[in-house]
Amino acid sequence: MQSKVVNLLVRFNRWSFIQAVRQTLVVLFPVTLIGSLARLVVKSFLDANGFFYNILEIDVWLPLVWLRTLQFVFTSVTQIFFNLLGVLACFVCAYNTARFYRKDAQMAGVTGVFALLLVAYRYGKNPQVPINFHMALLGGKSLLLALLIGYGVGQLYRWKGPDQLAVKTVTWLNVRRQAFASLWPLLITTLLAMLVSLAINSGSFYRVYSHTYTTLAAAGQEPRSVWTVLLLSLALATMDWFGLGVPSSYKMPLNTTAYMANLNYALVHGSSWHVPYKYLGSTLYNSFANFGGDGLVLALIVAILLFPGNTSLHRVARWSALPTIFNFDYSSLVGLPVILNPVFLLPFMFLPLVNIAIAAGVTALGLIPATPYPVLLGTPGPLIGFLATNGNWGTLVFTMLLLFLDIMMYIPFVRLNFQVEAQLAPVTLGGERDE
Amino acid sequence: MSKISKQVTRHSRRVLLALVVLIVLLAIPTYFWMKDANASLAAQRNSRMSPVIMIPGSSATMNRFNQLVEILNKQTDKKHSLLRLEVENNGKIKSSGWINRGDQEPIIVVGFENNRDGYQNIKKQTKMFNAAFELLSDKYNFNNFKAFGHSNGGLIWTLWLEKYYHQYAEQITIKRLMTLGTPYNFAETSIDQPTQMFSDLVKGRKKIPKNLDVYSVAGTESYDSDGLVPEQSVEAGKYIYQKQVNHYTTMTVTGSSAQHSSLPQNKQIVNLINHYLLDSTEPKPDPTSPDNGSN
Repeated sequence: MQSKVVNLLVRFNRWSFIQAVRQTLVVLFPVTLIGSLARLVVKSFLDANGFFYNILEIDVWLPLVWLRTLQFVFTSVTQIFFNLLGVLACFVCAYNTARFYRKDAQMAGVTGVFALLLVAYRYGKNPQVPINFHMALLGGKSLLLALLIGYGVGQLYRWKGPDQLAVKTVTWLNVRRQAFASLWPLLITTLLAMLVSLAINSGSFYRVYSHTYTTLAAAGQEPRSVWTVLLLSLALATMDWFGLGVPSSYKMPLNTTAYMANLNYALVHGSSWHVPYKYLGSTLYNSFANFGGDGLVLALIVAILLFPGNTSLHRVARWSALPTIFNFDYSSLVGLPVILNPVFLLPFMFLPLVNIAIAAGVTALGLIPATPYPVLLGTPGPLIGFLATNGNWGTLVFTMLLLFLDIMMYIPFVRLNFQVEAQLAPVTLGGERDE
Repeated sequence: MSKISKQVTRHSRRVLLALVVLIVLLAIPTYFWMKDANASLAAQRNSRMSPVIMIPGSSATMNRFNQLVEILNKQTDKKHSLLRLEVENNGKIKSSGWINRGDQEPIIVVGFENNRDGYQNIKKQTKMFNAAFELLSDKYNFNNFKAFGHSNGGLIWTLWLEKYYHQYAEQITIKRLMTLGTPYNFAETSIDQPTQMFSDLVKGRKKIPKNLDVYSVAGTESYDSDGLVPEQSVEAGKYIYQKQVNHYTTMTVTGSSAQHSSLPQNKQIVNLINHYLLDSTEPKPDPTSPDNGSN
């Protein structure tokens, strides 16, 4: 039975699209790691609601001018690395796909980038205005789109593109011929991208698309029934898995009416046991289903680190552990990877639901109080519940048990992942011969 | 298990251990932050203090309203304590006077070392006032207050509401604002000649909180001026506040001591402050409360 599952997963991973995606994600990992670390600095050290900002009392000793300057410096890194991640992804994916078929990878990558830029081109009021893009299509938020375009361009090169040149035998004549041979795939790509761009610019598709994730995330804040929260959490996790999640998103309870009512009650009565909205989705999610961001990635990282085996996965887990304990998990999603990896799909989607359900149940039994107190941005996941109850020790114990349970539940999937990786390891990738 | 993977496992376990230690080490200061932050949140939420914060006009000091408070305290049963702050040009804030224990409606006057006239100075004073306000809100934890500004003091309030108030809006409500002889358009007698400041204030009016009640009081000695500020310049406040705040009421005081500089000692005006600005001790029909002011 198990070997059947492993075989199925291995077959899935040998599909050329998935091979191209996984190679691309490997290349993106260092970029997203640096992006996540910069994000951690911006949100946690330099934001007035940040964890380290308050713990280290940065406002006391750091002059405002310095603070502003540092904000610019670090925000520049996150904006370039995350908001233009799609461009990089598209290049690498087209490059890798073309290389599978021993086609000219460099021209394929360049063609991919131009295809994505054309698709994302935003029509202004008149054609004379400076260049402008639908930015959501270029960022990590649209990673799936960038990967698909890159793969498509790579396939086009397989069909029409020039062959790869071996470095040793290349002559000027070859280079010229090569450039001309790329003309066809480039032309076809341009025409297609123009059509897609036309479609995107004429409909309201973009507006709907670019707001879906944030709207869902905002909708998860207000509902007072646990069921809606479970559904929304499922939808968001699915989008994350497909590579459509916002890399820099950080879901905090907003000051909705219900949230304020709970907080006010707790402040007046000095305890949070009998707040008006005990099962408020946003605070339940934030306190108990948020160890390392969406999908309890911290539990996954710990499960990997505990498990003996594969070196590269351990290395990724060790590096991305630091941003992940402060709930900046995008580098883990890209590096392990979780994105488009069917092995982790089930726990990634459903474990948060299990956590919310258990937490709601334990709250109903009266074992832990509600969690209405404010929590700082970038508070380590396992401490959030404790802080949000103003230091209820029972909640701390409960959170630790929950985290332990999550790690245990992730372990079988980690084992499966290692088995699949072991099967894949000796398989050569596409046409990759030169190492 | 091969030797290499054993090594890897050991390395990973060390990282894991480091993470646990890091979280535990962070948990300690976090715990104290949490107790501290929630205690001050609760103190603010449960605070009963609702001070009146006053800003004097140009050339005046933090002692500008001493006489006013004296007259006010003679009139009312409730005695208001008086705290005076002065913001120096180097950013230091010195204080005199105090707030009596249990005084729920103290009067706090904020003056400035740089008390000169002119838009540039008013901008600076607004920034200085904000520093003082931050100090006050940290120290006294009030969740609502009333504002009073004489002459340019009213301009500082208006500018502060547009530029700085949003920092506090979630925790602190400004209930009422009374400006006295405030030249919204400086010395101009017509809004056809808007000053830079007036245009800026009109432009930023959307930032002024919608639930605020504003009273603009003018004094007249002749038929169109209090001797210094033209009545039209005081009236120009309507282009800033009207249709933005909950209520905008204008009043004109005439008679003796209606001259610009005497206004704060004018008995009529002390009555207005008592009646409109201060919280009432006994339930009195308030003509401007939102309940009966809706039509």
